[in-house]
Amino acid sequence: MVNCFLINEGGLDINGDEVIGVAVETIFKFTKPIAYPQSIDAGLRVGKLSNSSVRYEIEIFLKDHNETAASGYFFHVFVDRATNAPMPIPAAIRETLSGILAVS
Amino acid sequence: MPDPSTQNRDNFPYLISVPTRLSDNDMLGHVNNVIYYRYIEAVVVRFQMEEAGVDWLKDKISPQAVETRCRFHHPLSFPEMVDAGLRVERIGNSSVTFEIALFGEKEKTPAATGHFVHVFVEAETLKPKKIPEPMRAVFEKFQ
Repeated sequence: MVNCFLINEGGLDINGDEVIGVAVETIFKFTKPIAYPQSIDAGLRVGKLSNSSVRYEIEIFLKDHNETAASGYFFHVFVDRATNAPMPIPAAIRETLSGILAVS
Repeated sequence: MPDPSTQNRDNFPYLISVPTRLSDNDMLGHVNNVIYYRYIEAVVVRFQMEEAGVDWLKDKISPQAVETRCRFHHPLSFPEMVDAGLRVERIGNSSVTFEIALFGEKEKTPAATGHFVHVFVEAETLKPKKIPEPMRAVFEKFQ
């Protein structure tokens, strides 16, 4: 979901870009069971946008229900593909991420 | 607690070997972050079944995952074998927290560290229940 957003909305090219996002930490809390064949809605927003890292906040709902089934964080650090050194988030991607930044 | 990324295999009293598969690698050429949770699940579930004696099909009170966390320190990649280590970090009234580390075949320090929280619940109602005594005794041995 996170990569889908970056590729479709932020123009990320996972195969070609020199600066790519790598996962450094994920946390998930499970509050309600979901089971086949139920469908889910997955919600994504940006909780924190730093120089080279971003914290996504994710929530999973049973389709068309408001109650949360699970929620979590996903931390991406943008790094140089060759050296793995942290790099500033590319401008186009930063702009896209700003668009889903949560209002605190 | 020491920095988890500097721990070694000796810090984990329960350690199993988990093979990576070709399909675990993603387009960046290393194991995708989601797959780490499969390795974590493998060590937790095997520990619960073989050491603690959990039988999810028969037991009236059984553990359910309520929280998982993974921090990624360096990449893993097929075809290496992964050593998955487990230690009991905390025993509550109805919950148990496992500290987990995943080691690459040739690495002394973990590629990833994290935790996994199980809550014992009544299968029918999903209400939290006290950890059954025989299982609690096993958890105490792996602290």
